[in-house]
Order: sequence, then C-alpha cells, then structure tokens
Amino acid sequence: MIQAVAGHPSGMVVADASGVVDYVNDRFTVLTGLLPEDIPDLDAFAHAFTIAGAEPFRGMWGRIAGGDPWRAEFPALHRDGHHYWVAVEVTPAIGSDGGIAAIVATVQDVTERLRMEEHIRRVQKMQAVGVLAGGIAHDFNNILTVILGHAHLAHDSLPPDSEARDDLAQVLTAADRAKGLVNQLLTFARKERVAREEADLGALVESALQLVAPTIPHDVSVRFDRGGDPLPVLVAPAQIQQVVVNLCRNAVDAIADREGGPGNIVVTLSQATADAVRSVMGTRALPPPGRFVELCVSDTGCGMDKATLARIFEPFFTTKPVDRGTGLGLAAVHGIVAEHGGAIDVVSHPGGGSRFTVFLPLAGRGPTRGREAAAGRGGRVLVVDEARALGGVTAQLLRSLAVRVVTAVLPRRALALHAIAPDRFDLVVLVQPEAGAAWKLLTLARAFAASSSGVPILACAHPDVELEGAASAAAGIGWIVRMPFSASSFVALVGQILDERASRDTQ
Amino acid sequence: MASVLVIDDDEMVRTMLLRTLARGGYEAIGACDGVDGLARFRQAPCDLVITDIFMPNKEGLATIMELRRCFPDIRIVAISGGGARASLDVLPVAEALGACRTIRKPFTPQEVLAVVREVLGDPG
Repeated sequence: MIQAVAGHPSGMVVADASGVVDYVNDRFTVLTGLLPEDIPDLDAFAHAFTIAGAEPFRGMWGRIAGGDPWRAEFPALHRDGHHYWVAVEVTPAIGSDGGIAAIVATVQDVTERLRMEEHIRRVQKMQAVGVLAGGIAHDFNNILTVILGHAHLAHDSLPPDSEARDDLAQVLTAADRAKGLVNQLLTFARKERVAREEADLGALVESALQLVAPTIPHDVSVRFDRGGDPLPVLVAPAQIQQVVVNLCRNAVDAIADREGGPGNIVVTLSQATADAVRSVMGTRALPPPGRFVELCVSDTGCGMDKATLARIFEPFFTTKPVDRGTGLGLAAVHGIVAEHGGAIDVVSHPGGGSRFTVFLPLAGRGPTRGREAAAGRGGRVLVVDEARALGGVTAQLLRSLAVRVVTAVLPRRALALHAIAPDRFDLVVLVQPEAGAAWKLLTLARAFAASSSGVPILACAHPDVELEGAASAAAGIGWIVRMPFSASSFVALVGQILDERASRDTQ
Repeated sequence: MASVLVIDDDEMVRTMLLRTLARGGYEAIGACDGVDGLARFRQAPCDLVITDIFMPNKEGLATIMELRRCFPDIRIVAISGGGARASLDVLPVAEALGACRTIRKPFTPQEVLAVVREVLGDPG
C-alpha cells in the first residue's frame, strides 16, 4: 500500500484509525510545502495548510466515523506564501473486522481547473448579456422611434413661445441621448462580421490617439511606444480605433478621480509572449509564440478594487457619475476584442493605477503559416460554387490545407447542408465569378450568417463587383478575395481564418 | 397627391409614420407585414413603399425582392433598427437589393419627410 501511495500523482497522507499519521508521500510535501513532522496527526493536517484553519474540515470526523468518505474544496496557503485551491478527500479503509483500519487523505491542486471554470462562466455570462443587450437594443430602437417621432410632431405644431414646446425640447434631448446609448449597446452585442483589412496596428493606434488628443486635459501626458517592427493585424480599423479611444478615455477619467497631481497614460505595442497569451486566454488556446500582438494602455489613475475589476466589462456597469459614464465603453471594447479573436486582461489596484492589455492575433504572412495552422485542426470548409467556375481549383487549394472540403453547386443545397448542422463547417467560401452579381453573394451570405451566427464567410468575387464597405459586412461577409487570386495568398488567408476561429472557440 | 405604403409590423411605429406622412401632405396607408404589403400594393399601387426589414410572415428583404421583380420601376425606402437576435444591420443589403434609400431607426419625422421628398418630390 505504501508503495502505491508513494508514487501517487496526488498528495497523500495515511493515518491509523485514531488519526495518527503514519505516512506522507513526496507529492504532498511538494504541493503544500509541509514535511511529515509538520502533521503528526489528522487534526494537525486539518490546521496545517488551509487559509481558514480547521474550519473547512468540520464534519470530516462524523463522515469517516460512519465509514463514508469526506470531500471538500477550499483555498490553501503554501508554506512559501502562495495561494492555491485544493480538493481534499479523506477515506476510511475498512478492515476485515468491519472497523476502520486506516484513514487515507488525498490532496489535489485544483487551481487551474477552477480558474478555467470561472473563465468559462464569465465568457458565457458575457455572451448571455450580449444576446440580451442586442434584443433590448432592437426593441428600444422601435420605442425611441415612436417617442422621438411624436415628440417632434407635437413640438413642431406648437407656437415658438409655448412652454410646452420647451418641455418637448427636453424630451427630444433625452431621447437623443438614449439613441446614442442604443448605438453603443449594439456595438457590444454585434455578432455580424464587419469587413476587415490588414493594417499596421501602430498606425491605427497613432490615428486613434490623434482622435482622442483634444479631450485629454493639459496635466495628463500621453506617451506612445510603438515598438520596432510594423505589427500587421487583420481588423476592422474603425473598431480597433474605438478600443484605443475608449481605453484612453477611461484612463483620463481614472486619473481625474485620483486626488492630486498630474497623471500619465502610456500606450505600448509589442509581440506577446506565448505565456502571456495563455494566461489570459486559457491553456487550451496554446498559441504559437509570436502569433499575438500586445496593446497595452496603462495609467496612473485611481485604480480599481477586485469587486469592480470583476464587473468592468458588463454593460451598464460604471463607477462614474451618471452624467459621465454610460457603462458601455468597456463593454464595447470587450465585444470588439472578442470578435477579433483576441482577449483582454486588466491589472489594477486601488490607488495604484490600471493596465489594460489587449491581445490581438497577428495577420498571417504566408502560405506556410496558414497550412500549419489549419493542418492540425481538421477544419471543414463548405464551398458554394454555382457557376462551377473555380470549384475544382478552390477545393484543391483548400485540401492542400488538410481540411475537409464539401463543394455544392446549388446554393439551396449548400444552405440545406449548412442548416442541418450549423456548427459543422468552420468556414463558408462563396465563389461568384460574374460581374454584377453582388446581390447574389450578399443574399446568400446573409442566409448563411442568419442560420449560424459567427460562421466565417469568405467571398471570392469578380474584381468589378462592388462588395467593399457596409453592404458586405451587413451580409456577414468577413473576407473578400478578388478573382483570379494567387494560390499562396488564398491558402494563407483560409489558414488564418480557421486559426482565428479555433482560437475564439477556445475562449 | 403622392401616395405612400408603409409596411411595419410594429403598430406604434406604423402609426407614427402614417401621421408624419399625412402631416407632410402625402396620402399614406399601412400594412402589417410583407404579405399584407404586397397584397395592398397589388390592389392599389402607390408611388413609394416604406418597408421595415425584420417582420413576421414575409420579411423586408424578401418583400423588396418580390416588389422589384413584379414592379421593376417601384421606389422603395427600407427602415430598420436591427434584428432582435443578432442585431444584424441589413440596410446596406436592402440597398443592394433595390431600395433607393434607407433610414435607420430611431429616426425623426423630419428625416423621414426629407427622404420621401428627395425620392418623390413635393407631395403636390
């Protein structure tokens, strides 16, 4: 028995029926920092490594006296001072006489598992809030239309010196403010893809800082360190600028809330280390090094306590006075970053300033990266090629990525295939070589987007088809490739889209 | 007098639009969805159709496509405040499908009348 306990992956303690400890394995010592002499009996064991002392062990003796195992999870303190969570199970071993022959306690470090569970809970909560916010925004727009409309009609029908006209002017001002709020809500809740383009993040941040500069008080200095090399990202430029603007405005408010003295805002850009990304996105993301860029906005403002930190990305959560904060700025930042397959981390202490770190995937730079990214994942791509123009070539290129390709000639059949299992495909490629067939692409894209929110849609279109801008974005087209296209750029783009989707799915 | 057909499933919005158009000097009639709208237009064609996008029975984009197919010269203005589930902004798609103007909710009577005058000219 001792041999089995010695090599056990969990920390283990074996005691006799009275609770006197007979054996402690090495793993327990590594896990807790405690030596066998620190825990002569189970009472000492109960007191030795928990933060709350023996309190969590209340009820243990009753259970094991009755012959039943006792289990609990609680926070613990390692001898070296670091905090962690443990799962403890104490089991009585029943002897041949029916009495307790020994008591075996196993101790496992469950910090990582609990952290992942908390992360998933938070992501699900934000998704739920996003759906709710989108629904509310839609209804609010209808209600606001009626309020604004009738208030305008009544306002315009009253004589200029009427008191009621002034009252209605106040209604109109308030309704206008509500209109702005709904727009921000929609930004947070937005699920459709906005068309993206490759851009240097440094240039985007630079232009965002120019936008925000006029609103920064004189006693607040802003420093921007854009690092060395250009950092190409595949993004909706206006949205990324909004992220920078919102974070900077937040920093300005945090500095204003701190009493005394001028403040500093520092914005930096760098390639993120794999460890940094993993710590924010979770171990399942396993990003290769150098694939993410890190945009950091730090301030010398008032900082936040843990309770505030836990809620800052929720819509309508704000610590600012009613006239200054809507509680939607950081919610919009969160929505945009998540939609770009990135993540955001915040470090803050009351009185010690805050640091917001946004991780964004770097744009792919060549076919090798795309192939590597897609090969291990086994993604599925649906190609819709009504004109049979490029189906064979496209499919061949995609198969070279080691992903499964399903080609459909009839859009209706493709939609049916997709509708049966919307999660089956990781990417939909629409091939439409005709000039002047924008509406076909748009309608089909919208139908795919409507049946599965979030499926990436790549359109291969004639060079003269006008697809840029809001129309394609509204239809759900995230990427547009002009025909004819080069094999390498197409392979790289598909690999990157699949990679990005996989990384978002693991969040 | 120029005539306008208003298709919107939200009765309050429809009423507001009908009042706005009436005060602007247009003859306005309402329909509660795409099916109702198409039936009314076939019965009594009008000079302009203003249609919402997200509606039960027959949604706006399908309505626009069918109206354009049956009446190629028809003038259509699309209005929308986004979809309830996915907050889809389909107004640009509506434009691509043949709506000559789009208006985003929430809008004011002035904005509506400005667009209608731009498309139809003064009510006459």
